[in-house]
Amino acid sequence: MADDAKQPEPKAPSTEKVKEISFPAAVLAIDATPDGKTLFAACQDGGVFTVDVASGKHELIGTHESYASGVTLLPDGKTLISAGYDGVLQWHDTEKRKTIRSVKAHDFWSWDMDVSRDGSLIASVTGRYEAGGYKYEPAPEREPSVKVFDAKTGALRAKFPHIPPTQAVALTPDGQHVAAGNLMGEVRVWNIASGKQVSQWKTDDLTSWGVIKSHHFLGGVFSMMFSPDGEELYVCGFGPMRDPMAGNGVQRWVRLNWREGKELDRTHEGESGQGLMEALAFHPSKKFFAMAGRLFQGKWNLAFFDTATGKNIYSLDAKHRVTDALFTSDGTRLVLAKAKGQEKKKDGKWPDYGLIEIRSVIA
Amino acid sequence: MRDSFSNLPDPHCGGADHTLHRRKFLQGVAGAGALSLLSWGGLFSLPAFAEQAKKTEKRCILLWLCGAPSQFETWDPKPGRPTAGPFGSIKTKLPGVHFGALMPKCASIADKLAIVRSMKTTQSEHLQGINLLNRGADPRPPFIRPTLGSVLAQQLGHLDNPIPNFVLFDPCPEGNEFKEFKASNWAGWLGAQYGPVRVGGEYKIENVARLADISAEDHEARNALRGFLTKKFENERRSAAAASQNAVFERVKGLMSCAHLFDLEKLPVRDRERYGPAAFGLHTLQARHLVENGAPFVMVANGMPWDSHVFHNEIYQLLVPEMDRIIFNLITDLEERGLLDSTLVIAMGEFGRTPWMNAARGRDHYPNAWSLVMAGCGIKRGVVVGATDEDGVDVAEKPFNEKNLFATIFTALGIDPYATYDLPDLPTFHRVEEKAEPIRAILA
Amino acid sequence: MRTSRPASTNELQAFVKDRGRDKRARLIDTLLASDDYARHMREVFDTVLMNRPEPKFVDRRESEKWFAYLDDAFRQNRPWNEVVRELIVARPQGTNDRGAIWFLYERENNPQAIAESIAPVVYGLQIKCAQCHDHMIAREIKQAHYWGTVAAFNRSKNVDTPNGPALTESAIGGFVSFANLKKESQRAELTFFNGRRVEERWPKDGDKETDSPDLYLSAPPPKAADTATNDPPRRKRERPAKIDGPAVPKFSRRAAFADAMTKDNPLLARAMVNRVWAMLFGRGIVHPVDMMDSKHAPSQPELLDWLARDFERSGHDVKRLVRTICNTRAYQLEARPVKTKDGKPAQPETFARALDKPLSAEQLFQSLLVATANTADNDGKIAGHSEKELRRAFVKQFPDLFPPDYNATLQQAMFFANSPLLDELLAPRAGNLSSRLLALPSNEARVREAFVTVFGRPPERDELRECVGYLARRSPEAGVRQLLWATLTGAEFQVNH
Repeated sequence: MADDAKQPEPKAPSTEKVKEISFPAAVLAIDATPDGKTLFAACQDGGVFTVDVASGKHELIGTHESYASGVTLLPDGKTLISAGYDGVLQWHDTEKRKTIRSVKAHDFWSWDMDVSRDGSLIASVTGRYEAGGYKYEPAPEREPSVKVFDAKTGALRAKFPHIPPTQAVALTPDGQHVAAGNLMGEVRVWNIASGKQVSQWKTDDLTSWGVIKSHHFLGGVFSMMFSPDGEELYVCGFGPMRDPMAGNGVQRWVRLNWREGKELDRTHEGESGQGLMEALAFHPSKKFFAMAGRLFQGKWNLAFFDTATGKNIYSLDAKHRVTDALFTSDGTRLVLAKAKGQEKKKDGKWPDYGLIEIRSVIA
Repeated sequence: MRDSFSNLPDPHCGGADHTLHRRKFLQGVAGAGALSLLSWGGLFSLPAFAEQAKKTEKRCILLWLCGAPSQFETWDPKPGRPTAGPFGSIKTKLPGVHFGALMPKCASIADKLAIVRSMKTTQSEHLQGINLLNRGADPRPPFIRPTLGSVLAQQLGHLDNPIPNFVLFDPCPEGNEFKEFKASNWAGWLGAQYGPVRVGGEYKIENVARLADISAEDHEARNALRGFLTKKFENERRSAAAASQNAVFERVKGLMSCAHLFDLEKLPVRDRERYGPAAFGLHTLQARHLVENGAPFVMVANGMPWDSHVFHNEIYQLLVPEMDRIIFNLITDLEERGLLDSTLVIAMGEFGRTPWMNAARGRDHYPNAWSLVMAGCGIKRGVVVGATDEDGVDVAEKPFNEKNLFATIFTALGIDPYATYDLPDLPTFHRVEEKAEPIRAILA
Repeated sequence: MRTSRPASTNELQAFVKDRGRDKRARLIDTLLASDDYARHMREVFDTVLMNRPEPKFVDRRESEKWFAYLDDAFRQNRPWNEVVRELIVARPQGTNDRGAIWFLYERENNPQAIAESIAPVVYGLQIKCAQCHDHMIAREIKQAHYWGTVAAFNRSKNVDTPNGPALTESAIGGFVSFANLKKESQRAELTFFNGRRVEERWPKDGDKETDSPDLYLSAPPPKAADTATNDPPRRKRERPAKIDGPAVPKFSRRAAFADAMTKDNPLLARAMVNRVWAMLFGRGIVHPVDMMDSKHAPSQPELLDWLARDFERSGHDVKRLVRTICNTRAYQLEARPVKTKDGKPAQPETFARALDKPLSAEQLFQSLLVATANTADNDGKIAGHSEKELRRAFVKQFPDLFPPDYNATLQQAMFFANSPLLDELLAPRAGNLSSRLLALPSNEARVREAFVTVFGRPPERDELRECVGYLARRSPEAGVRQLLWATLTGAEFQVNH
């Protein structure tokens, strides 16, 4: 809380709301064209949308049979990949507005998806939590938890084992390694070409066992990203709770030297409130990164952290749960995917409960 | 009353009188009720009769889904609707009837189940809801209505049964409102002897072996002497605390003789694999085993895990398939053993969950329209009664409340649902108030 | 009043023989002045304030002087509001009150746990239910009260100083929000359930607060209060920072909260009166004890008002409160059932007769040691076990202190029936009750002595006949051990009456 007077204060960035676009169902994932003029949204009603920022209009271009959980535009600028709780990866042609390929990737959900920077690989993670012991320790996987697909052909390139549910995945910028984190706060990293596991790291500080009401685990790693240079891995979620159903774990990220499986830093004491963190994004300047999620108690559910020091340099109560976040490539806009609470039917209609919020970034 | 106390059972004297006096003595102030029970012990000493009695005796297992389970992921899915959630639905053995997609095993035995999709109750907070669905009526202080388990322990059990008449499995020492309920008076005006014996997890039954320095006869005689001295105290002071203590001490000998029935390790590995490996399943297996061996009522709870205000889907992906497998195994095992017709299985919580999802990925409390399932003794097989509207917001057909439910349970078990409690110093209460109708459509 | 053990035979004889009219009042005064009183109050309030300890804290409560602090507070009869103030402010002035900080320190920087455990003391309430929303049943308990109470402690942090554990407090920060049922975020302002609030200037959104030594009273610079933030990787449990002394801000939220709770806070007195009443009667005037809200009306509102006012006017004098209650006719009533005018049995909340009060683990354990006259041998062991081990075994079986409803468990009965621990207390040993009984010349003498020792009364005729008959059919040792077992495990011994 107390600032160190000797250290030069990094110039704090800030943001301002520019626009809000409403969706019928919660928006769970977003991506954007490099110019930031078109957005893509994966929604809880299964819909995959293109969104014209200027007009705020959105158009359905594909549908999953369950929640759509991930969406990424390939570098070709027109092929959009989406993933869903139906376990399916879909390829959409954004120009022709149609779905061109579907691949059944998993028996259970695709919890999270990532695409390599060059657009050649898609990684997706799955796994259902099943009791493996008296105290609900997770059982071993029934299907490969981590799969890597060829983005051009849809062919399976590699698969890796983890303890399900494996909830977050990230590819290194060079596309050589894939990292996946699970319910138990365990991160594994593999070399895709060799198929070998490179490292493993686990913490008890991102998961909970319910002492109070529910004897099972909850929490874990909910989002992860590599640093722009690929040397470090960031994971986020929230800290342990005695009653996981309170949802009051400490908002937390952890920075890792992933090659050695070592922790380097984590959200600083006193800079976090409580609530699940499920989105991470680096600013193009690389000087800071964003983490966002839900506010249970505290000051913020969106914050920027200084890359060099790990300090919280900007924070905001963004009012609703943030499910995904990205910076446009010029760094001037922050786009947030949001989920409101679903409201009761009004006049025979279900009110919208999804949002995309666009904020200007003054850095 | 005093005279009977001087005929203390004493193993050294032996003789036929023994059982009779001991039982009178156990009954204490219960009076006339004791007579009907006199024959039980004697009857059960004839093996053939005991075997026959076990088959026809009625019993009940309550899978208590505390915290309140969602109807949408279980018995009343709304595929394609905004309230559906991510899991989808599947066909069942009953034409046109769908369950949540996480319940394939129950779907395959839907023709043995009775589903009520139109429960409509009034309490939306846990403690009030737990009380309502365990006692079957709103509270009327200062009188404490006995729980379903205590009523069934009294109606289906007999005090001489070495196995407790009411066993509660629940491993969670904590648990907010359920913890509060667990610490309350379960047996109410029926008296402490009909309260539950709590086991599971940390609630092991330890100290089951007699110490070497006392003989079996002395062990029993010592307890009888204790009973003689303390029963005077209980009676003279109408001491509820003493009654509660005396009720558990009277269970000691029985428990020591049947402690092996509570030993999970003694159950076949194959069974433990089918029900386990987690606490809820293993405790259900133990419940089945106890019921097979003459326990009239067993309640299986597991904290209050169904209360998914946050991470609803993330929790239900674990809980629903586990419940699906447990109910499937329990029903099919009971049927294989010829016990399904005499055993009532109920799976329910204290209310349902909201059609809408909150901003924390959760569903909140919802008593307005929810589901439960029953099977076995006195229940029609393969029936769905009641319905909700297209989004599951309200009951569309045949709303039922806790009184209808209790009347159904009692009727199914051959117990008069409207009997009057004729106890001294008590206003007139009925087993089910207001002559509430049972849910006839699911009664066999 | 039964402090923590039954009267020894000598005490009882002295009481019965004393013909003075005020003998009861004098006995109460003697008990209030005794070590037993301080110990009993310490045991009760240790559990009330701290709950049963996790194993790692059992020894630290002793070594960090928490027990000594409570013991001293009750022995010296320190005003209750001062004691509560010390628990909240946690800045001990000397070595005597050093243990006061343990109330906050054991909660390991968890302001919610602190708020939840101070609420029963200062409001007479459990406030946990108001964490996520305004209380659904007792509507006056607002979510803002929960988080306001939390905010009183969210600038504080455990530190280790050369003088032992301490709590430092920052002058800035702690401006947090909480999400209500609609998931809107609300400010956690210093607003409390007793209607008091402390005004603070909230920084504007995006404003950075600056810390400065000007904001502090104490010598150590505030920087020292902050844990170093760049020393990864962290261990699982963060160790308290080592600093010379805790920071004390000029405006202390803890001190402000303490003022609001211990000065002109009628709820503090009402909560204590209800607690002590429940301790003595086995049931609060408001029942359950920690639910003094709109849904739990006092059974005798005028009585509660009167006692609370008297307690406040007396300067929160705890011994006076205990004495007043013990000298009431209600407390001296017998336990036999009483009927009301219409012939119905009197309900418990009328206190028309003495209510059952099953002994707590500590009382039961102490009572068994006193009754069976087992004392520690040269190795400090009682019947082969350390006192700690025995105490732990009893606490495990009897963890509850103020249960809303009493339910004996089968596990407890099995413990008495088959655990070697009780059995060993009954084995004859030099000086203990069993060997004393065995030395008596006849079975009748043994039974009489056993009754007087365990129950404090001679046996009735039928009891004497049964028990003598019982002894006659067994070897003297087996008979005596079993007779004692039958009396000590019975309700007459185990239930305070």
